[in-house]
Amino acid sequence: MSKTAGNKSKALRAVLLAAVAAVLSTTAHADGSLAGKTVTLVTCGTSNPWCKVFNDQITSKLKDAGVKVNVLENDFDAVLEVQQMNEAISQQPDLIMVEPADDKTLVGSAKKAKAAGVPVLYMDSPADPAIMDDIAFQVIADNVALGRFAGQNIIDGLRELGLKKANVIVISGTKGSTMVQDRQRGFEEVMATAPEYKVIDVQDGNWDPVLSGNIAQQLFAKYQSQGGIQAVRAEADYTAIPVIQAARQAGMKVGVAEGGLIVSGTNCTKAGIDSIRAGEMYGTATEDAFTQGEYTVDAALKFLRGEKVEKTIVVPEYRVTKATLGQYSEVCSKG
Amino acid sequence: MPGKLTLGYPSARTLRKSLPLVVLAVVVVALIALPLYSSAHASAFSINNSLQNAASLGLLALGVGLTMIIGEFDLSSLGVYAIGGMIAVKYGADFPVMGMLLALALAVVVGGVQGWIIARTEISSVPLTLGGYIILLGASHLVSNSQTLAYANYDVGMWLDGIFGFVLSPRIAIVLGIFVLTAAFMGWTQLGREIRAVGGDRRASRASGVQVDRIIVGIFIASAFLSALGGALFALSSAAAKPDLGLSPFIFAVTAVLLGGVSLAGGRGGAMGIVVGVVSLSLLETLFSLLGTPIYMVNVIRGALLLVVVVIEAPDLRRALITVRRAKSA
Repeated sequence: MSKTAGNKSKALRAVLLAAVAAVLSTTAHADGSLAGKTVTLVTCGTSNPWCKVFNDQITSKLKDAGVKVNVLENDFDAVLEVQQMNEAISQQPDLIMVEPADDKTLVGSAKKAKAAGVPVLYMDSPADPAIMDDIAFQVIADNVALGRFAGQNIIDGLRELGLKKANVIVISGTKGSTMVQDRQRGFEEVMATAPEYKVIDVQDGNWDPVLSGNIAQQLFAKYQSQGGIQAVRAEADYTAIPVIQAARQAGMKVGVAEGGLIVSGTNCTKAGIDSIRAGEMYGTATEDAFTQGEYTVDAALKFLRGEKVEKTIVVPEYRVTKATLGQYSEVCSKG
Repeated sequence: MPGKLTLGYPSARTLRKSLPLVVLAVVVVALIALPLYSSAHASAFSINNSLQNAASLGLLALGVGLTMIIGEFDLSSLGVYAIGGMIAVKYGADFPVMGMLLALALAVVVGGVQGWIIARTEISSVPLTLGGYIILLGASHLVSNSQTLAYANYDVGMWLDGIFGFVLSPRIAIVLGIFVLTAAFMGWTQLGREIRAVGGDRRASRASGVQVDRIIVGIFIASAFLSALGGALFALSSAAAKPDLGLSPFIFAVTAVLLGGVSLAGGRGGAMGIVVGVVSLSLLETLFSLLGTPIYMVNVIRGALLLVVVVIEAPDLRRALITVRRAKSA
């Protein structure tokens, strides 16, 4: 008698436990909790202002969802990144998210990851066609559009100054990445519509503010006797500001109001917005770290939940000038 | 008295001799037991990756180790390692072997010149090769225009790192083969024994007719050759070359060499010890990587290990041990 009662209560307890477990698991699903999932983020270092906001946005949202995140940082160092990719694959995470330093160098890594069964989310810069089947998906910026916006900024600025001819230089991000090449392509496309303005020099600033400033300084000196430089396309706001500082130090005037140098940035930041407001930088464009990070991490979360994700997600980009400042200043100021 | 001395002496030596194998055993056990104390586990890929890293730095370690065996120290090997990779990538775009041969030819010249100066002038190799390192680093920036060069012919790297036999790859096999050949050469030839003798007592070897100068030049050429080959293989496998790889490859190499039983004072150690040192150290780093240890903690551990090895290596320690033993037995 007591035995059956004991069995009964045992059975009852089992049923109850199962019910509780079922409820718990469904609530967990409803929350989209991804506890137990791991992501290895191979990314640029937080010493770069854009990367800091971008990385923070990604890691905080992943952690909020219960994902364990390992971060491996490099300063756009292609060699170190290959080693970090190997390390990431060894950790066998549910997803590797990589911000490429060089798209050619990562070909081998992506193929290795595929062979090891670790999915890769390629970020920001479009993956090399050779590895399109090897990566899981990519979230990239509309880089050609960003290049076009920079071209429009420069042409509009120079026309506002009423210049009939001008010398333009470009201080780019790391040239080995396709995104930098795509931007340059978009830029040159637009610049070709204004042949009176010549692009006379393109230098690799490696997404580095200090290096970009130094290059600007050297080029200002170099071209002083050859008609000078009237406009600069910098690859990001945080490299455009040092360019403006270098121009000031060289005794140059900056901005339309002063009748001086026209500077265009991209990857807008608060400093860039302030500079446009102050009339120094002529214009910039989005690919702000906050929005780019948000699109990327949302796609990653979808993927981790097992939902279907498009192979290529292109984040839309917008041109920012004094006229459209109000519209974009908020989102840009998060970086 | 002499009896007591020999009693104290072997145990210090045993400690030193067994250290590389003890470290290797501890790391292997820790790797196998990973699931017992963490959520991570060592896969065949992670072991392969660890051996790839060992292959990347193994030849650099062997080069430095050889110079240490003859009682010298080749700081320039780090510069040769960097420029070797750079030349292989820059001039080997179409014909990988071409780039490799160019890098090796440069290394032979660099090693030959440095070795010749050291042998002739009996100048200390540390300042001389420091100068060599600085010049080579500058040259590496010059060749690359101060930029990281990508190697578009990435099939070469993928072949070099292609996995076979679960954890091996052609690159690992090449490096391992060179270690075995070096060990055989050092152990079984007259020249090999003479090389070790030069490190033990240079004056005595010279007196007994050993061609000391030739051996010094030869070892510096070998050191540069191995470093350049290691650098070139590393660059091709990562499909990129950087003008300056920083100090960490060298710190790894020297730690591995010391761990592998080569003495800073010269005359002791060999290729097999070095390879055990390299593999143990690489597996140790893999262990921490699998545990998700932050890089600064790994650096602390690396530094601590170097300290431990140097302390065990220290000749004063041996003397101190003997003194302690004597005091105890007295």
